[in-house]
Amino acid sequence: MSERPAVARRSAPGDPSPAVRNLAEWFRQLDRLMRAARAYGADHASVCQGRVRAIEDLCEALRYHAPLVLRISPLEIFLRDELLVHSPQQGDESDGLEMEQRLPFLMYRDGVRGLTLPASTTEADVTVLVDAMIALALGFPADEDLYTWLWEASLEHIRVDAASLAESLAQQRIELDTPQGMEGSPLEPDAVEDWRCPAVGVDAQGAWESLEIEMVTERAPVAARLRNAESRAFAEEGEAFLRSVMAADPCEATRDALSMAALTWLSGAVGRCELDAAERAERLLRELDPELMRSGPSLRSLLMALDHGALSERLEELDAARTRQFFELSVRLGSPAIELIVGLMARAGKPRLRAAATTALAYICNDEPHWLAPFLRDSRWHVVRNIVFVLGQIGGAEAGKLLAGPARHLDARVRRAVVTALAQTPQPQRIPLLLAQLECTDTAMLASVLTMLARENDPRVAPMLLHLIDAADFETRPDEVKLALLGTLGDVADDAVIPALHAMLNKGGWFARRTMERTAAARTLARIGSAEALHALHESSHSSAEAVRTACLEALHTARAA
Amino acid sequence: MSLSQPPTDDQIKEHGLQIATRFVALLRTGRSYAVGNLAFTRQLEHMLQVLEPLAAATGSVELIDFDGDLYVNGARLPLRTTIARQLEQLQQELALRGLAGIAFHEGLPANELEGFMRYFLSSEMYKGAELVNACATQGLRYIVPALQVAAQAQAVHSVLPAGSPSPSPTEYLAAVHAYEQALAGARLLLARGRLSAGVQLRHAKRVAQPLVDAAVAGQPLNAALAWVRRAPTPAWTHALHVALVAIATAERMGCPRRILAQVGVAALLHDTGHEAMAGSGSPSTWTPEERALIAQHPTQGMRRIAASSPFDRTTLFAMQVAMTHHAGQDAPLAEPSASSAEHVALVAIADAYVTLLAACDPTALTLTPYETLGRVLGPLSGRFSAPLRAALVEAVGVHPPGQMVRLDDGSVARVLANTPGLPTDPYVELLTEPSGRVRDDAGQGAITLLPEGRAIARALPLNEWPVFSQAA
Repeated sequence: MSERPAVARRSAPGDPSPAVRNLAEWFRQLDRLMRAARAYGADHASVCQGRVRAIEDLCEALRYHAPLVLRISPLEIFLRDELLVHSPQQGDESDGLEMEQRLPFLMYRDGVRGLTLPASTTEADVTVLVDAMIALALGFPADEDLYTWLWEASLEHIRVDAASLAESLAQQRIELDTPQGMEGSPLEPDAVEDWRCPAVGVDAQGAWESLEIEMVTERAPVAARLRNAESRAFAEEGEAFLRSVMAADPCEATRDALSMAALTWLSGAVGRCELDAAERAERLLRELDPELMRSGPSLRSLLMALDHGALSERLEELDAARTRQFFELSVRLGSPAIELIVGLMARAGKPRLRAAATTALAYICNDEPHWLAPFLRDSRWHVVRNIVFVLGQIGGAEAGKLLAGPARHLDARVRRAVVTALAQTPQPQRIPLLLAQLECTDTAMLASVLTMLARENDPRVAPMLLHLIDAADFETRPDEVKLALLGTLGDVADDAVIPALHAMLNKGGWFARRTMERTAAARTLARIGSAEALHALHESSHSSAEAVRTACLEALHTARAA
Repeated sequence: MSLSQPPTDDQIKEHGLQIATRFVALLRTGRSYAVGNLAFTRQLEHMLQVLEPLAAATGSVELIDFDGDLYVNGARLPLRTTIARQLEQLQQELALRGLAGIAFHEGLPANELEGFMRYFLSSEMYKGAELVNACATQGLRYIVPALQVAAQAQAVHSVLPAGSPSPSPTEYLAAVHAYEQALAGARLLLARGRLSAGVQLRHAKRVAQPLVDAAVAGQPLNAALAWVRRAPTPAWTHALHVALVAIATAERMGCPRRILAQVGVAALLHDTGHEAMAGSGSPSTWTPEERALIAQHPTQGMRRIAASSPFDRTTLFAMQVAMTHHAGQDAPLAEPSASSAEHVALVAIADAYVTLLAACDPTALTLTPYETLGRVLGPLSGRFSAPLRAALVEAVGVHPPGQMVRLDDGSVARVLANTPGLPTDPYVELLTEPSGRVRDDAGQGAITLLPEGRAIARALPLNEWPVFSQAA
C-alpha cells in the first residue's frame, strides 16, 4: 500500500503529504472491512482476509510514517494537522453511509479523541486496533465501547487519548449538575455500616503467617477460576441467576426488575443479531411477563433504538433459516416489534428481506390492522406502499378503512398498491375508493380499477363512468383510456345510459366524422343489447351522416355475430 | 560561524538571536507546510546550521523564557526593534505549551529535530507534561523541552490530598494520583440518582480505570486507605474504597485487566441498594424501619442495577455482587452461582474490611487498621477462602495504611502504604526517634521505606498511639 517512504516530498504546496495519502487509503480499506464485517459477520472469509491485509498495511505504513498522531473529531480524522478522513461534502452520497455510521463519528462517540502510534508499535497492538474496529462495526455490548475495549486489551505502545468521563456523560445527555439545595443535604446518603463488627479478632501478623503456608496449594486453582471468568457462558449463567432470583423472591418489584434485565438482554442480542441468545432472553421474558403487559412499552422503545440500517445489512446476508428465525422471533414479540420490522423493511435493499418483513407484519397486525396506521403517514413512499401491501394481505373492513388515506397519496406507486389491496376489502368500502381512482391519468392503474369495477355489480359504477364520459375533458383523454371507460360501461351499464350513448353516437349532425368515441358508443350500445339499446342503434343506422350509419351497422353486425 | 572556546556573552547573544529567529521561521513554515515538505526541511536545515556552532562550543543550547525575557545559555537576548516581534512570538509559543524553554544538545540529528517539531507544532494536542512525555516516549535524546516551574509545581501538588506526605517515591505519588482521578469520577457517577439517569456500566469502568491501571502497574493503591477516618462518609466514597481494595486484591490473584474492571464496577455499585437510606449509617441510630430497609439493600441494589443497566456480563456480575455480597452474614435471597462465588467474595471481603475500617458507631468498638484486618482474617474468615484472605493481606499489607507501629529500634512510625505483594515492607512516616523523642518532621508526612535493617516489632493499639498523630 505504501507508495513511497517518508523522505518523499509533496509534488506541490498544499498537496497532501505521502503519509496522509497512504493513511487515507488505509482508512478507506478499514471502512470497507468494517462494512463487510457489519454485513457478513467477523468470521466471514472475506472479513478475515481483509483483517489480515489491514494489519499488514498499517504495519507497513508505520515503517515509513511513524509516529502517527491521529486526532479524532466527530466528522473528521486528522494526521497531526492534515485532514485525513474528510467529512462528507454536501450532496456527496458516494460512500452511502449516514453520518452516524462513519468512522470519525463512531470513534468520537465512543470517547476516542486521539491515537498515537509510535514507531515501536507492534503487530500485536495493530491487531488489537483492527479487531477493535471490527467489533465497533458489529456493535459493542452496553458495558463496552471502543475506548474501554482498547484499554482492556492492554495496548503496549499505542496511546489512546480519551474524552473525560464528564464529557462522555454530557455527550449522553446525562445531567451532571446537583440540583440546587441537594448539595450535602441529608438526601445524599452516608455509607451504611452493614457488616457487624466481631467483638474479638486475631493477630493479623499471626494470621498472615499461617495463611502463607496454607495458600501455597490452594491459591492456584482459585486464581485460575478468577482469571478464566471470561470463558464462562454468559447466557447460561445469566439465565440461571435471573431464574434463581425470581424463584427466591417472586414479588412484583423483583419481577419488574428482572423483566427489565431480560428486556435489555433481548434487545441487545437482537441488535447484534445473536439470535439464539435473543430467543433464550425471550423465553425468560415470557416467564416473567407472559403477555408483555409490563414490558411492552419498554421493549418497543429498546427495539426502536437499535441501528436498523446495520441490522438490515446483517439480515440480508443471513441464510434463509436464520432470517426465518429472526422474523419468527419478531412475530412472537408482537406489537412491540412493529417499529423494528418497519425500520428493517424501510432499509432493506433486497426483496427477500422486504418480503419477510411484510409477511411478519401481516402476521402481527392480522387482528389489529390499525397498529399500522402511523406508518401510512411515513414520508417515504416505499414504506407506505409496503404497509399498504401488508394491509392488502390482511384484508377486511378495518384494513379497508385505513386505505382511504393512501388512496390519495401523491405517489402513483402507492395508489397502485392501494388498488391492488382494495381487492381484499369489503365492497361497500372498496367501491368509493375505486371510483375515486377513475380520475387518474395513469393508464395502467385505470385499467386495473376498471377491471375491478367491471366485476362489481354496483349501481354507482355506471353513472360514474357516464359522468366521466360526459365530462368536458373526456375528449382530451388518451384513446386507450376512452376505450377502456366505454368498454367497462358496456359491462356494467343498463338502459339508463342509453340516451347519453345515443347522443354521443349522433354527435356532430351532418358533419359527423368517423371517430373512435362514436364507434365505441355504438359498440357499447350493442353490448348492452337490450331492446331499447338495439332500437337506438337501428334508429341511428338511418342517420344522414355516413359516419354514424357506419358505426351503427358495424356494431349491429358484431352483435349479430356474437 | 566559528566561536571562541568558551564563547563570550556577546557571541552567545548574537548566536542566540539567530537561533530564536530561525526557530520562529521554522514554526511559521511548519504552519504553512507539513513536516516533511521541502520548504519545511530547508528551514529545518537552516535551524540546525545556526544551532551547531554554539552547541559544539558549549555542549548544548538552552533557550529559556524567564521573567519576560529570553535567555540562551544564561545570556539574556537583547531587545532589538527589528526582531522584537519574533522574540515575542517565540515567548508566546513557549507559554502556549506550558514550557519554560528547550535544550538542544550537541549532535542533534535532523530526524530528531523533525520528530520534535511534529509534536511542538501540534500545540492543541501536546502541552506541558504531555509534550515532555511524548518526546521521551519517542526516545528524543538531543532535544529536551523544559516545563515551566509553575506547571511542574502544579503537576506535583495536584496529586496530593491535603495533609498528605511530601513526594518522594514515584509509585506512591502515582497511586495517590490514580486515587484522586477515581475519586473525581466516583463523585460524578455515583451521586444520588445518577444510576437511573442513564449512567451505564461502561462509564463506571472509566471510574475504575485509574485504579486498575495503578494496580496493574504495581503501585501501592492502598495508600488512599491511610486517610480513611472513622466518621460518616458519603456512600460513593465508601464504594470507591471498596473498589480500590477489591481491585488490588483481584490483581494479587492474577486477574486480567478486563476482570479487574468488572470487579471494580461491581464494587462501585455493591451498596447501591442503600440509596433508600438517607442520613447516618450508624447501627445504633437505626430505627426498626431503617433496619428493615438495610436488610433489603442487597435485593434493592440488584433491582436497581437490573432496571437501569442493559443486561450484559458486567451487569450480571454487578447484580450478583449487589445481591449476594452479604452471603453468609444474613440470609440472602439468592446465592451466587458457583462460577462467580469467588468474584463476589472478592468484593465482599473488600467491603467487610473497608466497612469495619471506617465504622463510626459510638456504641461499637473502635479498631485500628491492624485490628480491623484481624477481624476479617479471624472471625470473618469462614466467609472467605484462604487464598482470598491472603490476597487481601498482600493488597493492603499486614500493617495496613494508617496503622501506627513500633519498630524494632523502639521508634514509632505510621504506615502510609504497602507495596502490593510485599505486605511486610511498608512505606512509613517516622514519628519518633528510638529514644522516644518526637521527630522534628513528624506529622509532615515525610514518606520513606522502612529503614534498612529495621523491622516492625508490633502494631500499636489505639491507646498507645502518639497523641499528636491522633489529632492529625
